[in-house]
Amino acid sequence: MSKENKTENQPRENIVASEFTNGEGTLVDLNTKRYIQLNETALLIWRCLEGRQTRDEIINQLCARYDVTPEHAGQSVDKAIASFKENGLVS
Amino acid sequence: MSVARQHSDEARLRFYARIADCNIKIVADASDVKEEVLRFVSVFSPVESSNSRLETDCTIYIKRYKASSGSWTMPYGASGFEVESGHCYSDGNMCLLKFGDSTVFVERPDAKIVTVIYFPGKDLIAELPFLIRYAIQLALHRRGRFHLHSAAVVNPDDGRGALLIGDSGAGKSTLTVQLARAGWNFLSDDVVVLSTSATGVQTFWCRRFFSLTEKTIQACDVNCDVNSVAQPLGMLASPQLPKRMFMPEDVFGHPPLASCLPNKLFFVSLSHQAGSVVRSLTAGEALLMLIKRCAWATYEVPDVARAFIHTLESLVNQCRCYELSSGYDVLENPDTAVRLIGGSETENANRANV
Repeated sequence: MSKENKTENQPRENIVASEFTNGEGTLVDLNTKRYIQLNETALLIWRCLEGRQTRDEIINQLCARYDVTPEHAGQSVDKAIASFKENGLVS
Repeated sequence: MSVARQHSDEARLRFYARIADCNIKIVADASDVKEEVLRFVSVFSPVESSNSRLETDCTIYIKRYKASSGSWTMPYGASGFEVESGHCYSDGNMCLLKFGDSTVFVERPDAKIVTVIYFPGKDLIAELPFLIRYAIQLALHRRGRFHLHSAAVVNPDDGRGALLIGDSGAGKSTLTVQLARAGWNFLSDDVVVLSTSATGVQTFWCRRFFSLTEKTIQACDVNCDVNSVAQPLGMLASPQLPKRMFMPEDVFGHPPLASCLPNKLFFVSLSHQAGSVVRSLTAGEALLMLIKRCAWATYEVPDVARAFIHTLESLVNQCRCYELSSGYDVLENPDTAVRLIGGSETENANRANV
């Protein structure tokens, strides 16, 4: 795993993640006062990013938890990270 | 909330306000405001016997402005936002509120001292309630207690609480009064304090009086002698205030409960329709609605804001959450409020969302 992979897509400071009993969650950006709702998969991906996991490690997590192929999991990870970037939630 | 007056003399007033299991020592160092300070805090809490051995969780110093003490300036790079009758500035650690020439400030997210510097002038008596109210809020925030603009009632069948959340005029007091008339217990008709405990998020009362419009008093057939509370409320009572205040024990025969463990949240509004409607909300919807109503949950310094949001998160996770559009049927019969808040209507709303 390259060093670059460990440092990219890191959650910015002052983003507060909440998790609900149904598995879904929200992110509140204290910098901009904006928030977004997350489905279960997106929340898991966010938690992995908080744990400084790489794309490949997150894909493994998704495949272990859900009955999905690595390709499908990879698409989900890319889509979620793109959304996080679009909302300024990751570096 | 309760107040134990510890010591008073010509120069200094010191007493404890107990709010949400938190002992806040209030020290006013000047004679020109000490009676107003005691009166203002006392309307939110019964005065208890003196107890000098209370452990202090936080201290609020109320000091008269002196030129020799220097002036407090805005932290460099601080962001600001409006609060009621004032402005708040924060640099990520310090929080400073300005009301006219007077100031409330706290230096760190874990600080145990909140300082009020009041500027003597013609606006002081009008500003003082805001200064003290915000000082108490900042003190409580730093002890993990957070205000919520909500009524709180307790179902006598299971002892669990329901929070009725809404803006002024949304119908919180009307529902609370109707449920109290039907035999429910209550904490407050307008504001509560949330605190996380081992059993979940506890809700605490923090205001002694109820406040109703004349229309609601007549519609709900509340028999209250407003004059009996006009004097204790003192400076809070105002000719411009469109509501009348009374002590709930004078009307319902028993005082508010000190705390409860809620298991239902209702976001209430008036529909101006004949019938009321209940709709189930997801936890995510409920959290975002709560955050919208709690500006401090995102505008406090980050460490405190994070704790506030996590308290709201725990609250929605322990509760079923609903949106309630109150119709005229709530005014007609207390049993309607019981049906809406207590059971059958919310069960129907749950089934409709399955």
